[in-house]
Amino acid sequence: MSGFDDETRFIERLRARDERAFNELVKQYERRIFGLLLRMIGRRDEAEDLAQEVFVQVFKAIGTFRGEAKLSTWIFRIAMNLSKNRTKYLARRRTDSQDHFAGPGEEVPIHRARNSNMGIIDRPDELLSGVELEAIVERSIAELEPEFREVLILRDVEEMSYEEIAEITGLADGTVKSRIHRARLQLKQAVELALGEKIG
Amino acid sequence: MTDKDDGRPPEPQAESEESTQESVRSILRRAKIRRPEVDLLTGVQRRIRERSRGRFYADGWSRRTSPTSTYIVTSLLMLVILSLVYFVLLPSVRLQ
Repeated sequence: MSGFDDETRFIERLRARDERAFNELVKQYERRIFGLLLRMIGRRDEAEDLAQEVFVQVFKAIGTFRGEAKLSTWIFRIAMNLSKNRTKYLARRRTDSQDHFAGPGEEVPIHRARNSNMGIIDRPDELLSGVELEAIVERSIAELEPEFREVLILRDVEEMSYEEIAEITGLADGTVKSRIHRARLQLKQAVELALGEKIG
Repeated sequence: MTDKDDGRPPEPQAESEESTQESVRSILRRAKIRRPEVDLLTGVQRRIRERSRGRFYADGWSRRTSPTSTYIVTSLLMLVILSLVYFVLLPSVRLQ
């Protein structure tokens, strides 16, 4: 049985509103969708609420899924659309989405990254490991402009193809590539600034 | 397609795309960027149950069955209880 057949059968179960199949779908995608939304919105409570909404929308709209794209691509497109709507809504409410950023795992405030706020580090090799580096990188991703952040996450965190990213974002392939390159440059500069040294 | 597609001014291309990609992926690997832990299933099921008015993810006998049968069963149960109470209390009332 090929993966394609498996997915086709799985989609049929979802279309039949098979609750067990839908439970499997939620468990399979919840961390990916939540991770994407957390990094896009920057607030755990909002990301969790929105991630649940994504799966409710998937449940409601699975009958309209025509199978032209991969199921994962379709789900990520729903997530990205809802994320954009929520971001606009939060912006209207003048909610500061950055102040409450809680990265994956243990929440580590950026100021705990030793000396990183001064751009000077005594032991870069020591700093370049563990939760401090994770906090720096997460914060740097959070500070990217949303249009760069979304493509960077999809490409370098979710490891999606350019074609999949183009389908999810609705951008042309070339625009996706140029945005990813710009996003990487911005991320690299931000991390270098925080570490006080060149990387890679 | 070029950077101009974004309608933004081009940035200096001091580094090649390959080296930038390698640097960023290296730092992401070293930072051990993970997918955050979360459990959404219960909340998703609750939302679907509420919005479908109990048609999906029913969680008890009163939700599994149709509203009509729920009313009938409840009515019959009440009738049985009232009858029992009546027949238990009636002899004591007559004695007085």
